[in-house]
Amino acid sequence: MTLLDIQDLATYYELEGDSVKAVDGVSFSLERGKTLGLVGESGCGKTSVMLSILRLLPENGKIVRGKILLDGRDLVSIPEDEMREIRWKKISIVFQNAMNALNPVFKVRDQIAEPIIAHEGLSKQETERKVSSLFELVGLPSSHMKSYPHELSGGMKQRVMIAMSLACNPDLVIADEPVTALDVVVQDQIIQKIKEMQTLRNFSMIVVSHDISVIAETCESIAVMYGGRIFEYGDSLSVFHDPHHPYTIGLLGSFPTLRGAKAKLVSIEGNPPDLLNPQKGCLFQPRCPRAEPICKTRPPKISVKGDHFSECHFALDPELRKIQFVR
Amino acid sequence: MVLAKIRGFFNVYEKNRGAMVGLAVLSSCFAVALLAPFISPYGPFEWAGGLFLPPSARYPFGTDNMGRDVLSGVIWGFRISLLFGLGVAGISLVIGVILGAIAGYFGGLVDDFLSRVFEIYMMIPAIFLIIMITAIFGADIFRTMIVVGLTVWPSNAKITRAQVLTLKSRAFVQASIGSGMSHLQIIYTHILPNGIQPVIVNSTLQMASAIITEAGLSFLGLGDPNQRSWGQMLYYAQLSVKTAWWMAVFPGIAIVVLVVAFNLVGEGISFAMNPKLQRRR
Amino acid sequence: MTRYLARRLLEIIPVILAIVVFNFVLIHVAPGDPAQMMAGEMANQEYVQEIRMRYGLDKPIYVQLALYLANILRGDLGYSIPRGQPVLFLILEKIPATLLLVISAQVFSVIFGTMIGVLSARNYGSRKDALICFSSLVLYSTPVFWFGLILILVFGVGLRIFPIFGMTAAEKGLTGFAYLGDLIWHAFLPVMTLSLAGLAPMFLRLARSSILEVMKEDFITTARAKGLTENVVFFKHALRNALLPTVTQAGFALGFVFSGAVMTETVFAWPGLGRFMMDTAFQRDYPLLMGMFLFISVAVVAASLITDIVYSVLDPRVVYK
Repeated sequence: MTLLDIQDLATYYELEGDSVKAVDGVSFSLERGKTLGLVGESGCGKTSVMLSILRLLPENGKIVRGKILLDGRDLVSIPEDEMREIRWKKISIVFQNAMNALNPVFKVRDQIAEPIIAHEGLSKQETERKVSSLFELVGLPSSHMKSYPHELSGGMKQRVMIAMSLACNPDLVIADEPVTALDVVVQDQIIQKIKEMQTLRNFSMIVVSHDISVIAETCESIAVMYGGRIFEYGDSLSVFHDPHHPYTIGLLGSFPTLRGAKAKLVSIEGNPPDLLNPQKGCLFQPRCPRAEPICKTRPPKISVKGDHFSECHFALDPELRKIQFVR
Repeated sequence: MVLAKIRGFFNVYEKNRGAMVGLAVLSSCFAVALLAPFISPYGPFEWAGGLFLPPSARYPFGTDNMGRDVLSGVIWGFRISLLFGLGVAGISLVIGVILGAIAGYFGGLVDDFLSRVFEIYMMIPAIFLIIMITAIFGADIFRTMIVVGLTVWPSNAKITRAQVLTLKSRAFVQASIGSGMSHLQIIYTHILPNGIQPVIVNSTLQMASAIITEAGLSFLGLGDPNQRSWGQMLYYAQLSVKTAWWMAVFPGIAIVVLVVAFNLVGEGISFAMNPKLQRRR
Repeated sequence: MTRYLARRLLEIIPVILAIVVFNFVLIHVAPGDPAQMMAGEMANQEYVQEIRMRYGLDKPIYVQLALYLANILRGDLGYSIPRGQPVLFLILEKIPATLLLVISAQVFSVIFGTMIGVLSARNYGSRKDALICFSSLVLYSTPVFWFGLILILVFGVGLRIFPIFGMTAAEKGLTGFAYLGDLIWHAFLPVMTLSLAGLAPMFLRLARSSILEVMKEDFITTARAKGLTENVVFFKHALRNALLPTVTQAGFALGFVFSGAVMTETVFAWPGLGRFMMDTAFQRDYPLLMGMFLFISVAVVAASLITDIVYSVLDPRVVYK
């Protein structure tokens, strides 16, 4: 059952008369209870996709085309007050860096209770009970309910964020770099906790990250983004073990093992693409070891296997895996 | 390199309409000050023809209690105000930057001590000090300028110190230290050019407040009697407030216009130096 | 908490000491003989010598300093010969008028300035916002005393609604509510002057920029993501964070307030400490001058200390460092 269906989403930011094409034609769908990973380097547009879904773009951001269908309903066109009802109740979000995502002057218990009070209209006792059970769910001792965010450790704050995100029992949880700011041991704990709860409550997830190992652990399908587009998409095992895009290959090469110690992020040589005046054709061309003159034209979406597709002229080239990146 | 930086700076500066207006007004004020002998109908202390004459075609701003032309007073007053402002800001700049740089660069006990000095200094009510000194030693505009300059430098020192601390850890500075450059050379070639920007903004704003301070002191009767500053004109204006409203209105408007211009320019510079806006080509 | 307090108090003492020493040095480098000044121009030499010995002016300077400090701890700020009364008494006599002016202006400015600042921030980028900012800039650039003069011209001389000098119409001998009403009537223009040209623009700017900074924080996005309305996001989430530093700034502004008070009192002939200071400045009444300087410095320093403490109590994040 398809919960979320994004069709040709494009989001631009106005910057002194010009448009930064942060998202330029992104499409994917997500089933109930499943998890999709959005992976890519900083600035590839994954955060913008996330904010577009919730319509939380800043003043100068605008969805210029496309549809975001939630259970068949297009979120792009509904009025703001309807969107407000959807926020947190149907779709919630776990922000990266919970340090700043929690309001410093309110106790954590009140911050978790807030959306419940706003959306569910339960009695004071019922709300309190719900907050307590959420605390238990994420493994937080109830002694911390009256704490302020700055009194908690990074891991605890992240758990608060997770508890908060599940307060209204949403259908979709978007997790933006949910564990990036934490150390390795805590990372593992949090990831396990999230998976536990997903099984329990059966919500869909979109995990946004630039850390492939986290994606590998949590996602059934994965979309590799670059310059506002999806370069490769498919079942995560398929993409990891059988990548068909130079960029994906490059990214995977950055992580010697998919599990284990946090791999050093070895970046690919070159600069991120210019999104103000994007070049013609494939945006990865300047940094791609496989590039050829044909790359000046927009690569087609080539189906590799079933749902797995890649946007590269050489997607089906059997020698593609042998390319070498300059580090 | 420097020229490109300046041009880039102006590109952003001119986008702020308020700042451009401020700059235009400020330039006009400087022009008036420079050209005072040529555009002023009378000298600052010159008898103009009659006491307490209301504004007219001959005396656009009227005359005061000593028969002096108010318009001329306002024009000549630009010189006094601007010089005073520049003087105060200059003294404050030199002392503040030097002490701030020392505190930030050498750190440790030196920094601890100097920082305390800055804090304590800022807590002392300056106006009382100035009043006392003026009362004891007499009123002289240069002395007052120096005293005011000596009371406002801590803000520059704090800013410089913060800048130095940030720059000190940057790679190119570390490299220079490693290469054996003397401390003074490093401060002069690397730290000052890069760290000076917020101090410039602060100095602009300090000029504005110095002008108000001078006006206030003169208004209280502590001004230099040999200088017909706007504040002094207002001192006399107060005594005749019931009969000669023009004596109070025009010099005050001049103060407001000049100070608003300084503030707009200061804000404009601060806006233009904002790194977030400079990233655009 | 008490440790924090104690530490802050300890830090204040060298400040006060420095001020006193500085004062002393200043007086002693002044031209003229202090004893002669205090005795008056007509006094004969015997009287001057008597003064000199009575006030220990013949002793070495560090002894004088020690004596002065000892006296301060006993609450004795010296004696003013021209006025024939203890310095402390003279100061305390004038304080209420100044306090009335300053506190009224502070309260009004904080409330009014912050409210307008909030309005401006809520409508960020609109023409209303631009207008408010510009007006605030103009007021901020207006000298306090000139604003007072203009108010006098318009309301006192022109329209004749308000009195233009003094604190009370003492000759009428009013009591009770009539007295209160008369007081307010006299105080209105001075308080408006000190507020609008002095403090309010500062609070406006502070509130506005504080709010705008807070609106950029991540937790604001979280609040919006929760489906809360923009008004709730602004008034509940943003304001609580933004206004905290704003209100406490009131305490730090005391030095600035005092200079504004001096101007205002002079323009309106308001019988407070500021005007008193101006009246006595040229009289070379050194004990009085020193006493006033000390008193005011201590007040400013104490105010900033209290503000610090209040802030640390109000903000859950600030812990005794």
